[in-house]
Amino acid sequence: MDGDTQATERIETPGAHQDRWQTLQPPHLARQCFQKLSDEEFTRSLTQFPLESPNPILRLSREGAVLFANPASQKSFPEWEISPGCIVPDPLRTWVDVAFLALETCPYEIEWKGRWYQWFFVPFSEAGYVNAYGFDVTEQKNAQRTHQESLAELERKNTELELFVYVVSHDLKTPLITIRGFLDHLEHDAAEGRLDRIADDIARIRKAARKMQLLLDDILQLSRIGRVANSPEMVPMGELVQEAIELATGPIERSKAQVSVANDLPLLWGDRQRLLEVFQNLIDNAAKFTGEQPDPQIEIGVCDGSPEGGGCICYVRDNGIGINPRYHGRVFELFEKLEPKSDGAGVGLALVKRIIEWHGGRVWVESEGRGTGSTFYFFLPPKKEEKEDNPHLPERSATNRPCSARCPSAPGFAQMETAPFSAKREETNHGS
Amino acid sequence: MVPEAISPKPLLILLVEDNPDHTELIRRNLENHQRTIRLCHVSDGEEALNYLFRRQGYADAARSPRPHLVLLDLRLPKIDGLEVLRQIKTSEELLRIPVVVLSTSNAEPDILRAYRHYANSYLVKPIDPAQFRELISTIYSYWMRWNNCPWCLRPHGSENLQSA
Repeated sequence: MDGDTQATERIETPGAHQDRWQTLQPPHLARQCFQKLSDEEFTRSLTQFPLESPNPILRLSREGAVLFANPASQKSFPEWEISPGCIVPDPLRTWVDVAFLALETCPYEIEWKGRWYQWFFVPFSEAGYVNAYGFDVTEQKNAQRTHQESLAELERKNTELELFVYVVSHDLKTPLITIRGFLDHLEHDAAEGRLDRIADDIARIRKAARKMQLLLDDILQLSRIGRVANSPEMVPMGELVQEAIELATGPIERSKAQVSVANDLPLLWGDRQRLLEVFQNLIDNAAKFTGEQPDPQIEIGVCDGSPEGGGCICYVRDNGIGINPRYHGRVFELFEKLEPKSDGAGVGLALVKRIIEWHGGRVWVESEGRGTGSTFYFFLPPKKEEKEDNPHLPERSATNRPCSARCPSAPGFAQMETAPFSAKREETNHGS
Repeated sequence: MVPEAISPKPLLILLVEDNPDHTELIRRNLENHQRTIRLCHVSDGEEALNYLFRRQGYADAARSPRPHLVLLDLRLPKIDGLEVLRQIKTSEELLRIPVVVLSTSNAEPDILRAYRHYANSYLVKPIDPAQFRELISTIYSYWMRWNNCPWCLRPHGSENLQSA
């Protein structure tokens, strides 16, 4: 009885006594734990052990034919219609070959119906079969994916932060040099009575100070995206456009541009304040770069026909200086300016891009090049339905097709009659 | 200044700077040397490369003489300063032109990248106006007065002229 109790204790805490457990486990001692069973029952329990495994276990011939399959494998992969002699589908079929070639235990991963399985292939080359042990690692995979996503998000934030530091060291320093430099000149010019230059000095100082202010405003605005989110709503686009035009009155009047707005504008789904900023920045941009155009025009509307899957493509078109196709990607980058003489910090279009992408949309520009005008488009997706299918559930992969090929004369199958599939079905019922 | 009086042709600085105010500050600080140097200004990377490779409006070599010094800002519209630098230093024809980077950035990656592309010097624009003046006049005296540029190897260098 004493020995019995000790052995039982060891079974309960195998982790704590791992080393001792392994050394103290000759068959006769393990047998002591099962004294209630007859020898025959004990032997049978051992042979049935893989049948009871909650993880899929397969024994496959060199040709990939199923010699043995436990109920868990049939339950996990019902589409494969696993039965004695059937050939397993790829990629398992290929892994059998690799396992025999490499003659070592290799873990593989497979995605099946939204779940991830790790397979260990243990080849027994003399016996001519390979044991395949599957493990459901979906939870680990998901955790890993969440981890990677948050890591990527952190890295993105970090890069952005570095860019902000760069802005402080460069874009704020630039007007500061101007202000201090021209203050110095102003002093000298005033002392020397050079009245012709004083007005110019002052104008430059004023402009630089204004630029610093604009940059600060832009940076603040930029930092609010995604951080300060108003709850999305259905917003009439016509209303947004009218408000944006009012906000951009200054630049529009300076450019003497004619603004025309299409009729029957749709409702947009999104953060009202942010979408207003999108239109304001695009109109501002169009008014700023009219170039030599004697009759500047700005046109706002939506593209005909809604894109596949709903949503809406809006545009702001101008007949101004246009953009060389080479720079179409760069215009949306933060602190990028194609026109050195323009005021502004190169934030406006970057802001537009971020807001649209935050809404799950996309922004792009079309222009033939200099002097041809440009059209800024953005796509806004439709309102999201509350109940959505899990987007993480992927479509069934084409490579994981169910096994259809049968191999009735699978070698060694006759010996496997002790593990019949009908018997296992019963086990499945008990187990579930 | 004796050598300045003797110098037959003004030495040419190609200033690549997108900020009009900084351009004006540099121009004013070089006003005293108007007779010895000529400042040619371009405001973006594309124009700088057009000038140096004599493309488009600069096809006529007489209108785009080789500069004795390129003063290069890094953050430029269209093509950035680093790319301009790279193209100069990988062109057999241009690589000998001294290129001095004059930037507001003192960020380490900018400095390292500039030297990796063989910048001859990296200078950070000082905020203090007195230091700014000093820097420009140092650039003038070092690169325009003392430095021997590949295009203007005056016989026997400038010592002779000075002692004369």
